[in-house]
Amino acid sequence: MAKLYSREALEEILRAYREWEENILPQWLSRMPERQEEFTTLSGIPVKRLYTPADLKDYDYMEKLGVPGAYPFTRGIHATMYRARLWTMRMFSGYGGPEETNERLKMLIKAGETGLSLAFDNPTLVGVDPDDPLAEGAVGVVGVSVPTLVDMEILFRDINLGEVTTNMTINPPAPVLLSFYVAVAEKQGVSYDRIGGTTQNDPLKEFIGQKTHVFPPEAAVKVAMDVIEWSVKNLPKWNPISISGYHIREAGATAVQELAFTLADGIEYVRQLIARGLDVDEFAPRLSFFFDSHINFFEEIAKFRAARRMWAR
Amino acid sequence: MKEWFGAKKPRSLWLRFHVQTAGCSLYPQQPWLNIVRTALEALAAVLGGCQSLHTNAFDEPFRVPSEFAAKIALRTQQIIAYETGVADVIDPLAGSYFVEWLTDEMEERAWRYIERIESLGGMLEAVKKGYPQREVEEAAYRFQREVEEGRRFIVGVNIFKEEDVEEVRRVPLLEFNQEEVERRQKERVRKVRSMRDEARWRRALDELRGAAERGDNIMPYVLNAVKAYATIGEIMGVLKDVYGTYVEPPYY
Repeated sequence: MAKLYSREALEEILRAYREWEENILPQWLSRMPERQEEFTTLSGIPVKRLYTPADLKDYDYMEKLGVPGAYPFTRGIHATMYRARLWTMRMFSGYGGPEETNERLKMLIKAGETGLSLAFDNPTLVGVDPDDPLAEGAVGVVGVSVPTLVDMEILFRDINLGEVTTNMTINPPAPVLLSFYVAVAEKQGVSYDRIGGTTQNDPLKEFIGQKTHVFPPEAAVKVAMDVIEWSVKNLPKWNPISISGYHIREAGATAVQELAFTLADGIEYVRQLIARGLDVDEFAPRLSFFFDSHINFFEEIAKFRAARRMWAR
Repeated sequence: MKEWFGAKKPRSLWLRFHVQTAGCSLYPQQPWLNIVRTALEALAAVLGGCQSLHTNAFDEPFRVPSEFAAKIALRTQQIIAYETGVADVIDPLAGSYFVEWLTDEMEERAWRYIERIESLGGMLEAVKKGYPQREVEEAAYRFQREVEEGRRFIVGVNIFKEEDVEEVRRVPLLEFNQEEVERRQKERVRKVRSMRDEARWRRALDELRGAAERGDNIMPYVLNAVKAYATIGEIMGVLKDVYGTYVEPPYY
């Protein structure tokens, strides 16, 4: 037990707070009414005008926070956080064909980005070739077109896959794009244990938010779990899934829904993988997540911190 | 992970996450303001302890980013990392009465949703029943109404509007010849099809079909097909044959 405040301290703070509410605040409010009757976060959580230790009255520091790099990880997953290594600056990019995007990737690396991230065009996202009638007018528009291994080789011309990590925002065709990437790495002579990056490969959020699904839910989950199982056994540095709240949020969810649905998706995947006979400690370290950061500042920070603690529990 | 699934390794308990600033918070009106929004959202991600971050470019309401806009977005992260000092102390907002209260509040509200999803049989079942889809649609509608009724403020959109669209016309958008790209991509995919070893390609796709039908892990077979120069459309075509496709039912 590591209660932050003693009963005596809380009583004194509460006394002062009530006195402020009764004796000081009313005069101010009558002279200067507040801008709104109610203030709420973007999720609709009402926020008071002032918070004090009385709002954290039975707060147990060790139970809720602890230290960075230790359970429940509220303060961060690494003991050193950004003092040792900054976050990866990973710019989502892609347009046109592999030639155009190869140029863009090289420009961003030169400008100091520290991780690569590919945006694919709509035909690639749903897994159709550029000469499919469905692709008409959409090739290379919202991202890069990568229909074959040859395109993937051009995309990574002069980029050593053993020296970069690459995120691929790809879902139903994730097994195909991952295979392209692995095949290019092999051609470059990069061994499997040096191939690093992420496939988004999160089917459930497709149905909730992104809507670039192809297969029915059961089959979609099965394919995604195939990718995870294979990667865990073959690519020790690959993140085979990025359990994504981003698209759920962008579809109009609140921060609370984003948090809850993302973790619920994660829980489902853990169950699916355990049901395949995998040991939780074998695959859990390879699961990664992806959140949105919206404009309601403190709510977003609280969301990230709560997410870490909830997942660890 | 610890209590429900009995994970033992500390790494199994880590929630490692990437963040992207909110595309839906960017607007075409007075587009330069998007640089400021993105900077604030990126700052929240860093104060929240992300492992990886993408910052949106200010011209994204119009098109994929120009080189100029992409560079500003990247430089925004570099300013946060190297100039502001926010990366020098771990979790600097911990202990804020408000932030800790709000962290607890978010957690409590999220658990309530998770319990509801559990009661539906987990997320796969909940998705099949359309539960999260309905929740998100309702929230989106609520937000839209709040903006329209002026209860949520968006600078340049429903407050501090400017009629002049001159500055929008001055945004230097990415220019590239899409038709040329499409022609080149079509040509290449046809060339790949004509140059590959037909027998090897055929065998790889047949083996993939067999694996999918048996319910085996398809990854080794997809990798084999890719190496035989099967295209994305051909591989996905085989999988669609076996698994079927999904048409979203109406939820209302």
